Amino acid sequence: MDWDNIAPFEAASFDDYTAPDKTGLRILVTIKHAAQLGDEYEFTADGLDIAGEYLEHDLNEWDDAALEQALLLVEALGGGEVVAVSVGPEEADKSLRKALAKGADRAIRIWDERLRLADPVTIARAVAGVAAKEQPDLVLTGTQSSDHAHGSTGTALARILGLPHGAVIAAVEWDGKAAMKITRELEGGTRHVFEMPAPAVLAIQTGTNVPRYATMRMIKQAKKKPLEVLDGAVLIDGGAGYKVRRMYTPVQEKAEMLEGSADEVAARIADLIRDRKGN
Amino acid sequence: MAGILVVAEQVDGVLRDISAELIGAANTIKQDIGGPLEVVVVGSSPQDLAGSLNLEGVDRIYCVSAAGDHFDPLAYEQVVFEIGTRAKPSLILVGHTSSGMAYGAAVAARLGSGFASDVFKLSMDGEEFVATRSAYGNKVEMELGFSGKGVVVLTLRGATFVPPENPGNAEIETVEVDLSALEGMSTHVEYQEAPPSDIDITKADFILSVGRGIQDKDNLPRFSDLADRLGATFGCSRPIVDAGWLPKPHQVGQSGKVASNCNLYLALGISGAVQHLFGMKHVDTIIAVNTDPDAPIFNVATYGTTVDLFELTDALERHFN
Ligand SMILES: Cc1cc2nc3c(=O)[nH]c(=O)nc-3n(C[C@H](O)[C@H](O)[C@H](O)COP(=O)(O)OP(=O)(O)OC[C@H]3O[C@@H](n4cnc5c(N)ncnc54)[C@H](O)[C@@H]3O)c2cc1C
Ligand SMILES: Nc1ncnc2c1ncn2[C@@H]1O[C@H](COP(=O)(O)O)[C@@H](O)[C@H]1O
Repeated sequence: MDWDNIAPFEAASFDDYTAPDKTGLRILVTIKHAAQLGDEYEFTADGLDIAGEYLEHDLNEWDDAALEQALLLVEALGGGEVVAVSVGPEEADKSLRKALAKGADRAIRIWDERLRLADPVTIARAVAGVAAKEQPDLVLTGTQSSDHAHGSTGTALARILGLPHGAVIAAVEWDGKAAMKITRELEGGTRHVFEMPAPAVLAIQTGTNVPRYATMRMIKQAKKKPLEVLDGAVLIDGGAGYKVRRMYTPVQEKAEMLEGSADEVAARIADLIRDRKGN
Repeated sequence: MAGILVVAEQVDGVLRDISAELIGAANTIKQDIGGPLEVVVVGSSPQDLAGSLNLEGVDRIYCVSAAGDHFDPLAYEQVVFEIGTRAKPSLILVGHTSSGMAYGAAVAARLGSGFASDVFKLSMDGEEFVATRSAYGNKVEMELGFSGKGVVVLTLRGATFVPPENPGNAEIETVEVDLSALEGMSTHVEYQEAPPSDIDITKADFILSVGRGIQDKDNLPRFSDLADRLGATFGCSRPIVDAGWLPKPHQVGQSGKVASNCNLYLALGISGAVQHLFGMKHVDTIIAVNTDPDAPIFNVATYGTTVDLFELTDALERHFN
């Protein structure tokens, strides 16, 4: 690829997948089963990632906010369908089931073992393949994934789909028609309000809403909701933004650790404060 | 492969610090890549901003006129695409900011170029670019390569690269980019600032900040009392504001306030996400309390402890009775 050979990234084609007919408004929400690193960890043998047994996963915080926004919109607009989409292994069903319990209507998961190190462009191509079939009226992603914090998937997805888009979105006003009033959050907390057309891709920021909890009854009901799995093999070799060369623990200067009981440590901290502030 | 294109960032006609930082970043790698370092600036009167962008190392500044100074992701994508087609840079640098996040990846998707975000280090391995970024909650790092890509788009972390000190000798060129096809895609309404408050993180010299580690809203008064007793301004991380436990002016970080005049920062139960560090990593003395010995806050702190923050608070209360 170079300036004389521009080769835009394209949506994956899931030829065997047919989306159900639309009966009203349809909002697509992307859901990442995001990883958290524990106290101890080791790298995989190839040195490109953390070994799976040291990771714990849960529904990405930003996607919880995006899902809530989608549910609030369909509730306010008197109906519609929320479809949750994730790229991840079977364990990711846990986060999709959580989304279904909270109120999503259907879920779709895309996977192939070779997608373990997938970059945001690859994830975007996968979701774009589903969006091309579902033809949603709105797509909501999270602003970032809590583990890798690329802050990029929604923007790549929008470009692949050719849709207008916004990032770090703190408020969405929409009557379900062609125009939306959107608020994005800038550095320093300034909010920028603007209008844009729908359909669009919006990357939602935390704090936009307070995500609901699923009750036991909702969790039980969610077990009956459809969760379809698509083969991610079509994504392999179809273009990505980067390749991981290595992952490592940086060697860096760290804080001087204060050891001892809570009392002893507090005494040291009290001295430090008095020394610097004279109180 | 040759040439670097930096995309300047402005909000409502005012250039942001990230613009000069991007130029500083480009300078760290300019010799190795070869070719010119060019900057593009978009706005209602871009020529007015060009002077501040004429920094050491910059060879050319492209001024592109737009109807207004209000950010529109599609317009920025179009401008970068058109200037790129002329200048044919092998590296395009964008800030990893609210605005940069809204178009950097779109430029890459349109070109099919290499792409990585929130990059804090640039280097070369022979002919190939190497970008370094964090992973897994800022605890480890990953090095990324872009083989087969003649163009790479990177969004770079703020408050990380050092802006050039000296003025440059750039050629300033006005370029027309036709943005009429994008009319109606983004219509500016207004900017809203947080309502004024009696607390000012930017002025405080001593801040006690709490994060999600405090677990419950009911615990909040203890910590605000402790801050009072210590004579500290009460700050917090973003989730505390998101949950509605404290108003926005208390928030330290990228989307909150930067502790610009602080020389002592006590962080209780804050992990050290990039966006929080943005607001406080420069502080002279940082004391971090976090039960996770690998918490990234310890990478910027002067002193640290893994003692439970509630036990520590009990003990501190006794010391400042
Ligand atoms: C565009 C954008 C802008 C953002 N802007 C900001 C910003 O301005 N400011 C900001 O703060 N964040 C910001 N964020 C959010 C940021 O990414 C993190 O989500 C956030 O900083 C995490 O807050 P935290 O450290 O309090 O929570 P967590 O990351 O959940 O950390 C809680 C910590 O508490 C520790 N802990 C738990 N219990 C105890 C105990 N008993 N004793 C001691 N330690 C304990 C844990 O080990 C953990 O490290 C932004 C994100 C985005 C995408
Ligand atoms: N594997 C994935 N599956 C589904 N959605 C994802 C995945 N990775 C990222 N996303 C979406 O993209 C958003 C931004 O993620 P990122 O670009 O990785 O920071 C997340 O909040 C998700 O909504």
